Amino acid sequence: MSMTSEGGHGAVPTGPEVPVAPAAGPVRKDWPLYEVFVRGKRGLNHVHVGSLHAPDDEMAVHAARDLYTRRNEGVSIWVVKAVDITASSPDEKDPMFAPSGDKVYRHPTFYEIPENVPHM
Amino acid sequence: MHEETVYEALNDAGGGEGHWAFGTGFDEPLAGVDTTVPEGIDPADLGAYCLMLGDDALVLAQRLTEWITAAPELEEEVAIGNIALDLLGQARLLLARAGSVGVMGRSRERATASIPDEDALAYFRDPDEFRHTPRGGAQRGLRADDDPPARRLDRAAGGRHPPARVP
Amino acid sequence: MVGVVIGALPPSLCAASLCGTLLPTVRSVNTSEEPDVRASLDRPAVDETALQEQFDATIAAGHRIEPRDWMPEGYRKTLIRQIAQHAHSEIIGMQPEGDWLLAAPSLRRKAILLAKVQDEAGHGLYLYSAAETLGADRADLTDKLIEGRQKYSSIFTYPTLTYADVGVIGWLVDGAAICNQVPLCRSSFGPYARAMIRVCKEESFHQRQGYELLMTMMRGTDEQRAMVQDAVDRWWWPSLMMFGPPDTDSPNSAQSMAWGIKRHSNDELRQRFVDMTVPQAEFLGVTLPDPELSLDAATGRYRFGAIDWDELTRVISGGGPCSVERTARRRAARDDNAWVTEAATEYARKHS
Repeated sequence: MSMTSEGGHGAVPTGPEVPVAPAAGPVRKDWPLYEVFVRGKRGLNHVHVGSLHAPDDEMAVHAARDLYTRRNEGVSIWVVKAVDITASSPDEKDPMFAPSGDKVYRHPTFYEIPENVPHM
Repeated sequence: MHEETVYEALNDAGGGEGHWAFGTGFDEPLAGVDTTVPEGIDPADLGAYCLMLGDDALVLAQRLTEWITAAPELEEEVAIGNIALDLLGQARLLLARAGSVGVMGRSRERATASIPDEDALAYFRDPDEFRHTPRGGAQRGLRADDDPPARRLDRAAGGRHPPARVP
Repeated sequence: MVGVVIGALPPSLCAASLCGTLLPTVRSVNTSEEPDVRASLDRPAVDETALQEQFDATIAAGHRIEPRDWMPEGYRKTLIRQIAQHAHSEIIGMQPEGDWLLAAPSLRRKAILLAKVQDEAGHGLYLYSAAETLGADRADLTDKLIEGRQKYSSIFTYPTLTYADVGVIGWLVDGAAICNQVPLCRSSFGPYARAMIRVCKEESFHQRQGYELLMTMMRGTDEQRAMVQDAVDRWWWPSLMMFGPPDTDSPNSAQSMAWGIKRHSNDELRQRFVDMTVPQAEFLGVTLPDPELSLDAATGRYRFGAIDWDELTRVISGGGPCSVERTARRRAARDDNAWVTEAATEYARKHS
């Protein structure tokens, strides 16, 4: 078994015995994915700091304040559903994306297949 | 790097160790607090009122803490933890204030002088001395003096989950 | 919430999705094990050689790979494994420390421990975020953890038997984690590196708090000093195991180093940790439970005894003292409270 110490908080196996493909079949409904942008103080601009899951916009903003700003009330936060972001990065060449006007990254929930599509 | 600027700005905004939530950043709860008792106020009343508010905060903090590692989503974990920390910080302040006006109940009979007022009150009072708003359901019975103080606090707070592996 | 409907996707992606190859297991068009479906759907062939060269050049220049970059499937999968299981470690790690939240011996200690455990939840969240940029889904990763198909750090399968364990975890376990994590701030994958910068800042607080707690106990009663020594006796060897098997037993290390997602070998990091920790132990006044621990005057490094690798294998495979309890609690958090998640989703749907 191959384990890497760069498992961060202790060695974890990184060989093919560890599955990564999302489970086939009905997926448990996660709260939607939101991207978070924060402006630390006046004069700076908003910077993308990461993502979180929330059921709606209001909860997303509250969660973002807890998670990315340690409840610092003075900080400006933007949250937006990840699926609503349009990204353009011609230099990044993942063939799954159109170089302009496509999703921020591959996420299984960005491409919801309607239930009546056969063989999915 | 730009990301560093954001994180530093966030860090500095709270004054360095400001990323620690409210309940932790101080050793002396009453540091910077004017502890004179206003004219016309009975210190015993002030102390009793502080115990009422402080015990509410303490008990709520204890109960919320039970949800750590058991919350529905990780975002909720962080949120619940934040609220519990806020309440714990309030409890420390209020209990210390009660102690500062001499309202200690019977806790000083058991707590040595080196134990700060807030801890003496939290860990060394009997359950009948707690002044929090009663919660639904019966209080658990308390055993005698050989009960470790931490467990006594939890039981006094109406805990249904005894702390794991208290020595 | 309605996701993107198929018709709105660019034609090449429609085709790919109908063939069920859309999700992270997209294979390159050069894979010979399966029919080249996309070619038959008039999708332009992808020139992988050029993409691989560009990827290699980015790594060689020390630049970051970002989520929309082409990357070899091995790189993507290894990273998902590494980052997701790192996140799992943070979340599971909340349990052994969380066990002492209700019984911390002072209100200040309770607050410090609660803030620390909450930090770890935050770290897990940052890391799941990074994993999701590679095409994983957090709920799915959680399911795999609960099913035991993805692992977490072996160290968290051990119980926290006394309050001294809380301090020792801060000193030794977080100390070892810092040795692992600082190099990760230069990981070739951008989102992971950025998450690690944030994590490392907070981790150093944790180690200091743990060490300070132990110093306080070591200045206390004989019973308290014995408690610290007992905790050290139990946590020392598992901490050394956190660095993984010896280099000779780590077949994937070379590839990970070439990809820039591993910067130092397991043995190198372990040695660094030992050299850093021995003087700290001496200052604290505890004995590390290794009779073979000795300073090699020539190199300035510490030699140490043989590690029981069977224990690591057993523990990481689910045979640790608390392995069953750790996943059971994670499962309970997911399942007992599923109604909350569903209710919030339903509420949002009704009010959207």
